[in-house]
Amino acid sequence: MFSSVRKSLGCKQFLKLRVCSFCSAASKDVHDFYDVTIVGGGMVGASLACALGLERTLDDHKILLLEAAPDKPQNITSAYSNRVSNITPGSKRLLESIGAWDHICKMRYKPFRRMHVWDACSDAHISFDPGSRELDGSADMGFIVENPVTLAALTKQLKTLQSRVKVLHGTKLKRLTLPDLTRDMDDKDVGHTWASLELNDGRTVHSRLVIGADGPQSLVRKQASMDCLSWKYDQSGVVATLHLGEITENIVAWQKFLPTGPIALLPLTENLSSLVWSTTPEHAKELVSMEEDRFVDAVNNAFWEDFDRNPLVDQATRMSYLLASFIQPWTNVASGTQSPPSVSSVEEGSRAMFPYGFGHATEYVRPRLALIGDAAHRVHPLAGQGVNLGFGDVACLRDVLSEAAEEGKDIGSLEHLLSYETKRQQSVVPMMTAIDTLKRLYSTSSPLPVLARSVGLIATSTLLPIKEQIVGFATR
Amino acid sequence: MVRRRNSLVRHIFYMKYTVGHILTVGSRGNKQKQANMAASCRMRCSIRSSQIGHITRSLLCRKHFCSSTSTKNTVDEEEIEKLSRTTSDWWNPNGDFVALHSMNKLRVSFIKNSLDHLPRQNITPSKPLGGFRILDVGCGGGILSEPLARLGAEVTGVDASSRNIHSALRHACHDPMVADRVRYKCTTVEELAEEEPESFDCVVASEVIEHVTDKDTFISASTQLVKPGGTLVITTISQTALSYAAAIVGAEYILRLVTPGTHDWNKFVTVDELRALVSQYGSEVVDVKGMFYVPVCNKWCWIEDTSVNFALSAIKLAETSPEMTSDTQTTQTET
Repeated sequence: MFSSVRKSLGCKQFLKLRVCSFCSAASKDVHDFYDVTIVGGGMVGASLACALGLERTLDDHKILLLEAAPDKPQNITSAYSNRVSNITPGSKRLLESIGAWDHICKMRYKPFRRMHVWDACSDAHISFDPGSRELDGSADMGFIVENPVTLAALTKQLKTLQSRVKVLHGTKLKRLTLPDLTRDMDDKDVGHTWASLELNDGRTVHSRLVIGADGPQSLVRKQASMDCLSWKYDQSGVVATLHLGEITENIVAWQKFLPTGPIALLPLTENLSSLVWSTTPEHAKELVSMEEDRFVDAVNNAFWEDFDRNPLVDQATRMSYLLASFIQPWTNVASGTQSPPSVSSVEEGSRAMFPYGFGHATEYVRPRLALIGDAAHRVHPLAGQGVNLGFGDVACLRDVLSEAAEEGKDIGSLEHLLSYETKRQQSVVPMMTAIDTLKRLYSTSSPLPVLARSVGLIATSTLLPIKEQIVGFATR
Repeated sequence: MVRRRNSLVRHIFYMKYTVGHILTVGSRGNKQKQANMAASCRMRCSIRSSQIGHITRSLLCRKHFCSSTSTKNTVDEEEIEKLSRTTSDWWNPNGDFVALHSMNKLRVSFIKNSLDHLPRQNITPSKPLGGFRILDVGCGGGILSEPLARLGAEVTGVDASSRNIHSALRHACHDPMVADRVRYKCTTVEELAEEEPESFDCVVASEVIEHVTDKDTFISASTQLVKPGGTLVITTISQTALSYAAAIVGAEYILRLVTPGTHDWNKFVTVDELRALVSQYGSEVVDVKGMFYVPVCNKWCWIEDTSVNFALSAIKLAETSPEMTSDTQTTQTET
């Protein structure tokens, strides 16, 4: 009896699956399913969107970029922006590989060949340059690029990738729900397989992988309740675009460590430089609001003025240099001829200030989630590494995801994301530690630390292998 | 018959709520049924009833087919029971099958390479297997089927355990990249070989043959399913003293990577035996590689030594004339 029933039902049917008829959540709004959703369209987020959009092994993956800012054409005006970044040769390689560097070249950027760093509390100084080990066959230590230029280049590149990367402007994340791994997979609705993002326009997007690139106050990180080790520095940054007294080659980045914080002059053109002055928040407020003439004087004074020196430290510094000249008689390590250009005026309305902080997420990944850039790690800008660490994340994540796709993996699964986390933490944690230590070491004028850092700086500048290691480390 | 009718009535009654129950409909003992029912209660799901009907139909048909078929069956009932798991078991990132998940890195690339000699049609960089029909024998929860489908292949996964097929279906249906390219079927290679002979570019039996009793029939049926010129890929554990130490003592009892009792050393097959067997049924072995598992980092790597885990790929010769078969056999013995 039953056999006849079975026959009538039709024998041996394959269980061919159809998403539309079988699944609920993913299919209900199949248009709102993306393989990768990047939250935050800043320099790091946008470069990841470009990188993934160009990756051939991911050409069947749908990518969405959520950007809170409205879509407006970014006109690079003749006025230089006060927000600039140091792009290391390593980051340049990434930008080249995603086609954004060409656009930057067509706009403007300034390479620098040397970095000169010195201490306000002693005569110790050090000069970094690619030296014998030319970086990628060029003698450039790095490139000073205005942030809006980088962003415009990335936006331009994203326009060419429209078929692969969808950009939603003026859209913010409201709520992020990640799949609960502890649940029984046989137990619940299929919608819980993916990460779901509730947007401020009421839409819900499902995604295989969510990338948090939404900055130091990352909402993605908070929603995923990932712990973040963070503190505020007792320093604020003052930025400004400065006109120089004379036209020079202007290929040196200058940085002086004052007890209140480092002050840096980064070349923009032959007669323009960008200022990044880290100082106490009160002083920063004062600097931003004072008259332009007085501000220029303050900057010049900060670069030229000598602080009260401790005679003991001075003596020790001299001894160290004497010793250094024995070790390296062919170079004049003690040459004090280098001096920064003098500033003649400040670009109107280019002054601004912003607070500094330190932040490090204890984990960068979860199943279906990865953090990149400042969302994962925020550093003091004294080494100009913030955005470069972010670009490093982008390059690493692209490689990891591409490899996973080649193996046919679900790119949101934790296995390979963990390898991204491990690789990045190996680079990021030493860098952050170094930067934080430098910040602390140079934030004081008491003789003992000054002595230690001065002798250390001279030793570093004398022992070339160490110096080259540092150059290599900082230009990755 | 009465029992069957009872269970069928009951399953119609529960149809809207459970699928697991349906899967257990059959001629099993009462005790077992109770256990399965308990399990099925966990497997509540949201699949529409029409779909349930669809699954049931297929599964019932299979039962019917199995009982009436005279095909030689290489599947061991005990093994089916042992290797039947739920979706959570198969896909738990920290579960019993982590090693199987991480093995994909090697076997997916091995399968890709084994198809290199075939003409490609719909290849894109992200779909290097586009256009190929691949059969995954003993697909389990679809751990290997899904990556292959993501790489563009039309994958058919077969498994003798209906529970596994159900697990695989549940998992695959979520993923739009997989769902359209994969179909799962609760059957055996022997049955499929009768229905769809010579219809696959590649037949993969990964970590399966060590659970099969009648290896002759298994290889014969698998070879039958391959299109002439297509490939047969097998990965398994060799029958050596070292494999006993590593796969059974090490992996099952000391490290507990696999549930103790999963493997039976007596069913393992050595590289030479498998080579001979594959050649005997008209395929030419083209590649044999050893695989090594590092439990600490959960990674596999290729090694020369084939005395524990190994992968073998063979090309089915276009003409399977007896002379040719014996030829390959003689070369085999010479080597």
